[in-house]
Amino acid sequence: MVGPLPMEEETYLELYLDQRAAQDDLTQPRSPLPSSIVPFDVFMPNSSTPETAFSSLLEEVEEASGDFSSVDLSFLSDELTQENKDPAVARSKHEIEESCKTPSQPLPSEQDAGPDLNSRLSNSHSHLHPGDADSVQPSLEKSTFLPLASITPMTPMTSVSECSGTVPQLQNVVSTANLACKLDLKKIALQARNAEYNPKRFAAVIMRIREPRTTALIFSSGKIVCTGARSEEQSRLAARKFARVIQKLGFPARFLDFKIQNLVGSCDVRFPIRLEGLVLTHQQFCSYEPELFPGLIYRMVNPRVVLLIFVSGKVVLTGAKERSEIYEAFKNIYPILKNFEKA
Amino acid sequence: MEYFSPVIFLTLSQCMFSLGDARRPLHETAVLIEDVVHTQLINLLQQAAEVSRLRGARVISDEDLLFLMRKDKKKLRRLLKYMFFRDYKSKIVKGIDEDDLLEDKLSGSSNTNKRQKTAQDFLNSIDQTGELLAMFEDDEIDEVKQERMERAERQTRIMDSAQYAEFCESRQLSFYKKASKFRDWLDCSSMEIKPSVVAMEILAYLAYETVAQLVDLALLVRQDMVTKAGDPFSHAISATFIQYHNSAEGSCMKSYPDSPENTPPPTPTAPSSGSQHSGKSTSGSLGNGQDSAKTKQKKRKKSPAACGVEAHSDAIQPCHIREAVRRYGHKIGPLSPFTSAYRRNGMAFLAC
Repeated sequence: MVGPLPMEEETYLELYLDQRAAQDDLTQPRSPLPSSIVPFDVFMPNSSTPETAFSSLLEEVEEASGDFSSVDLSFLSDELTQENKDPAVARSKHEIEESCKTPSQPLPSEQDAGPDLNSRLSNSHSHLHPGDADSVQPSLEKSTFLPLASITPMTPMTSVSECSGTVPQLQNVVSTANLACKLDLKKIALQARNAEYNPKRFAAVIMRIREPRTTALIFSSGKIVCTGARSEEQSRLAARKFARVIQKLGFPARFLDFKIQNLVGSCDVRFPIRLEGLVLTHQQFCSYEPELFPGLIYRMVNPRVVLLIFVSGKVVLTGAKERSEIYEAFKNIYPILKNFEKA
Repeated sequence: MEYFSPVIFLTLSQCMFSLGDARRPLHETAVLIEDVVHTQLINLLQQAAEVSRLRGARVISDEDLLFLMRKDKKKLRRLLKYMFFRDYKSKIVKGIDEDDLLEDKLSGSSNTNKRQKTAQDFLNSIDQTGELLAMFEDDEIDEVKQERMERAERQTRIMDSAQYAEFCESRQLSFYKKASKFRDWLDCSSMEIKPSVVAMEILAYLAYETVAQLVDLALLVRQDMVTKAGDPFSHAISATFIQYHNSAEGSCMKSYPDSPENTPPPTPTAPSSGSQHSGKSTSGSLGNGQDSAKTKQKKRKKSPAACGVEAHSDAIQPCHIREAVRRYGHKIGPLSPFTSAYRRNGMAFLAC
C-alpha cells in the first residue's frame, strides 16, 4: 500500500488536532456517506491518524447535518444495487460538497450504520491515498484533497450547485392484490376485528391492521386495495397480512397479482419558492390557482409524476409507480425550483 | 347597507391586493368594488332564477349560470377551466391522503370529474352550432389570464420574502371558503329559487372574477391617465376622458351617476370609434361589444409596452373604477347588445 501523500497527511493531522475534543460524537449514526463506499472496502486500514482525522472531518460534516430520524432508511436494501451504485457515488460526491448548506444528508445509509461506519471510513479513507478512483471521501475536504478522477461513467450532472441536499421520502403506497376467491363480506365484517362494512354506502369491507399501519378495502370479488404503507415492502407485507386474515376466516385466499398502483413522496427544498414565476415560465406543465389550492400543480411528463409545489418549499410527488420515478422527478424539478428561489 | 359583511369586505380588499392593487387598497375603492360586485351578482342571480323557473327546476343549478354565460366564449372557457381544475385538484389530493381516498370511495365515487361531466353534457345540449363544444378542444392561451400572471410575476419579483408570504396568503383568499357568509351577503335566503352548491361555487368564482376584471380595467385606466411622451395618439383621446383627466382625482365624482348603470356617452361617437379603429391607441374605449375580449387584449398588450413601468405604489382610486365601468358599459358596434349578458336593464356583466 502506498503511503499517504505528504500534503494530505499534514492536513489530516491538523484536522485531527483541531477536532480532537469532539470525537465522542462518532458513535452517533453517521452520515450516509460510507454506505456508498461499501463496495470498495477491500483495502487494509491505514495508520490511525488519518482515520481519526477523517472521522472527525466526517463528524464536522455531521454537525452541519441535522437529525437523521426523518431520513427514510428502509428503501436502501434494494436501492443501491449494482446498477445504481456508480451514479449514486457520483451523485453523492457532488452532494457532499453541497451538503454543508443543507441539514440532511444526501445519501442513503444503512440503519445499523453506527459502529460499522468508522471501520468503513477508515477502509475507504485508506484507499484514497494511492489515488484510486471511485472514492468519495476526498471531496469532503474541499480545498486540499486531490480531486480523484472517477473511472466509472457518471450520469452527467448539470452542475454541482444544482444538486439538492435532500431525497424525497415515501409517505404513502397504494397497492392492489387479488385473493382469487369470492368473499362473503358480511361474514368477514362480523368475524374479523377492525373491520367496517356498510353496504348501503360502499360495497367493500374496510379493514385495518396495526403493523404495518395500513388500511385495506376488500371487495367481494376477492380484490383488495391496500393503502397507508410507507414503503413498497411494507405494502406487500401488509397486503399479505390481510390475505392471511381472510384465509383464517375460512376462505381459500391466495396472493396473486400484487401491484403497486401509486407512490406518494414528499420532501423539502428548504427555501421559499416564487410560484408566480414558475407558473409563467412553465405554463404548459403548471396549474396554479391559489384561491382553490395553495400549491402549484406541476405535471411532469418524463417521468409521469405530478408534483405539488408549495411556497414554503415543500414538494409532494405523486402518481409514480416506481420509487425511481419519484427520485428522478425530484432531481428534475430541483434546478427549476432553485431558479425561482425567493431570496 | 344591510348586506354589508365585514368578512366579505376584508376578503375583497385583500383580493384586490393580490390582483395588482397596492398593498393597502383604498377603503373607498373597496367599497365601490363591493357595491359593483354585489349589484352584478344579485342581477345575475335573478336572471339565473328566471332561467331556472323557465325550465321548471327548484334550484338554480350550474347549468343555468352556464346558460347565461353562453354568449361570451372566452369568459365561459375560463370558467370551465376553473371547474375542471377543481375536479383535477380533488382527484390528486385524494390520491395523496389515504383518509381522503376512503372518504371518496365511501361517498360513492361518481365525484371524479363531476363538474366537467355536467358542464360538458349541458353544453352539448344547448350547442347548436358546435362552437361551444369546440371550446373544450381549444388550446388557445387565455390572454387575460396571461396578463394577470405576468402582472403577478412582476409584482412578486421585487418583493422580499416577508412581503411575498403576505402576498401569497392574500392570493389564497376566496369567496368560496366563506361560503355561508357569502350566501348571506347575497341574501339568498329571501329568494324563491335558491342556488345549488355547485352554483354557489360558480358564483363565488364569478365574484372573484368580477373583482379581477375591475382591477385589470382600473389599472389600465390609471395607466392611461398618465401622459406619455411620444404617444402618437394622444390627440384621439375621447373628450370624456379628458374631462376626467383634467379634474382633480378627488373630484371625479361630480359628473358621475350611479356606478353600475349604463351612462349614455356624452360625447359624439366619432372620436371614440376613431380611437378604437386605430388599434394602437392606449386610451379610448376599452373592450365592449363583440370584440370585447379581443380588443381589450390588443390594447392591453400595447399599453405596457408603450409606457413602461406602472405606478405600483399608488392604490387604485374610485374614479379609476368608475371610468372603467363606464367604458366597459359603453356600447360600441351593432352587435354589442348580443354578446354578453345584456338583459332588460342593459347592464353589462363584467364576469360574463
